[in-house]
Amino acid sequence: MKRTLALALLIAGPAVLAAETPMDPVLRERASRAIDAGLHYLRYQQSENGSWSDSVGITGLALRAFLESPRRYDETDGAFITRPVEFMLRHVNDDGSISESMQNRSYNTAVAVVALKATGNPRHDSVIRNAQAFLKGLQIDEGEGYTPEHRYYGGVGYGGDERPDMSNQYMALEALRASKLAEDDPVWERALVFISRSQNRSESNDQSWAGNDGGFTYMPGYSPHGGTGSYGGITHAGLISLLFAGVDRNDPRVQAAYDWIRANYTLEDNPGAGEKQGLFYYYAAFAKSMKAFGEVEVTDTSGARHNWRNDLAAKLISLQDADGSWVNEFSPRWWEGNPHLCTARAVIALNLALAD
Amino acid sequence: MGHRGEWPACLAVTLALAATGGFAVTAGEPPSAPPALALTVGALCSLLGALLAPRHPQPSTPHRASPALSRLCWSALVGVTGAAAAALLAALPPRNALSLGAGITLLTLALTTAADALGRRFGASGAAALVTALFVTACATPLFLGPLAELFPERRWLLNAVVWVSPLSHLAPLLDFDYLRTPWFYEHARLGGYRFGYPPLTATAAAVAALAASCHWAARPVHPERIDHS
Repeated sequence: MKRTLALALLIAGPAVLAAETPMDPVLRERASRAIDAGLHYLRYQQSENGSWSDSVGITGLALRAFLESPRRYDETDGAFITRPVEFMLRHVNDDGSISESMQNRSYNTAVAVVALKATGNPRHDSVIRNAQAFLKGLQIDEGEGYTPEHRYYGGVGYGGDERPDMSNQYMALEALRASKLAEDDPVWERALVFISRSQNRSESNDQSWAGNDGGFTYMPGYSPHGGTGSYGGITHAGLISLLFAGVDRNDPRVQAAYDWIRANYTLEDNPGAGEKQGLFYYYAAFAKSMKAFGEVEVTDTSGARHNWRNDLAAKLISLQDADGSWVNEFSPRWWEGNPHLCTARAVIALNLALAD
Repeated sequence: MGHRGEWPACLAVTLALAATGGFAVTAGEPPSAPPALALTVGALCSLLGALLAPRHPQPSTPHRASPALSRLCWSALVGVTGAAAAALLAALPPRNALSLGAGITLLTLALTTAADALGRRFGASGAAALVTALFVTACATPLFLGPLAELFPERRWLLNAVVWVSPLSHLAPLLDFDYLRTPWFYEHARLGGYRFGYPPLTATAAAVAALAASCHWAARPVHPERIDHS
């Protein structure tokens, strides 16, 4: 009996360990080195003014990459951390936004809030509070004359009165969550209206165009990749948004999004986007949503099991350039021709993969 | 005022432009979308102001400063009228209304100067048609040159040049309005996925000054017999 038990453990042991171990140790070590190389690249690419690419958005992402890395840099580590913080603080506007330009105010402010919060420095609390109020104010609701029946209701756009989209929505919700917006704030409920209307799930989406694959499209009725089709980056953004808004992981909307991810599991491209557009946006959103969803492995619809951490790390390591940077060599759309942006996103994704 | 013979035709073109521009900016938005409406009003006022402006076809009048002063006063009047109309129709905050008024004034000044200069070569009717055509073409630049700029996405100056050629791009930031990310433009101009910037008011003023100077130079009377005295 003892021999049988020992044999069973010998056979089953590695499988059990593989299922419970978040990441292959060898890959973890290589990913750690890739993070260090990426941060080394970013450190020597920093501008005199403390920014990366003179952009609050890219600076916020790069700063976050440093702060959340396994080495846990903070403001006591030197000017390479304090100068980007100061750059962002120099771009705080009277309305609470943190942005160097009129356009992208929502995205820039959201990224800056997450980065400033990640410093853990209470000196930034008032800036974060004002920025949180700015982001809340951007949500399209009755204040702008919209009723819940309108397809834009509950959404957040680039920062003007243009139109909301799921990308800015998820960034804003991430910032609101990071800055500890109250769970019972009506922002979350309104956000769910817009999120549901961006999902291809006719049971919970009242729009006539809604399909039923469970994935997300850019905004109600439109995808930049044609029609109203679901695609990877935004489906992960949608899944995170649902979870940020307090929806249970067993909710059918969450399960439908996860099923789309299972059916389209890949790290070779941003599925549904074509020409590898938004590839690094996809990797960052993939890491965030998989981490938030909490499964070690993804079982795709053909039954194959994937350790997403291993797959993500291996893919990103294979794409890293010799100087430590990453760049989307296939498509510069969505600013991904910029290596500062892609490197920051790749490091953020690896940081999440390595985090327990 | 402008020559009576050509302005009804120009008005028709302008109204068609307003309808097209209004549709393009507001498509997908509720009808009350304030900045889109204000932008349309601003562009329309600027063009109408130029088409209906007092004409100064002779550059060598005894009082050379007066046409420039007249244009400036007229443009300021159009700016005030346009800002008031936009403020009423779109419920603009005072800060945006003032900025828009300054923008309309500059744009009208540029278009009026161009119309006067062109009028010396092509006559008032030809100038009105040309100014209208140039204005419409410039407004549409992000639509037809956007794909070209997409080929060189890391050249921000090229992306900005495509954006800055459009008069709409000079008025929109005065309204804090990212019009290139409205649904219709986002879909058709395809520039929204790249990094571009809108021109600051100082750049608009510099462009108007440069345009005015070049118009004066280009319209100098080289062959007096070609001057249209109509």
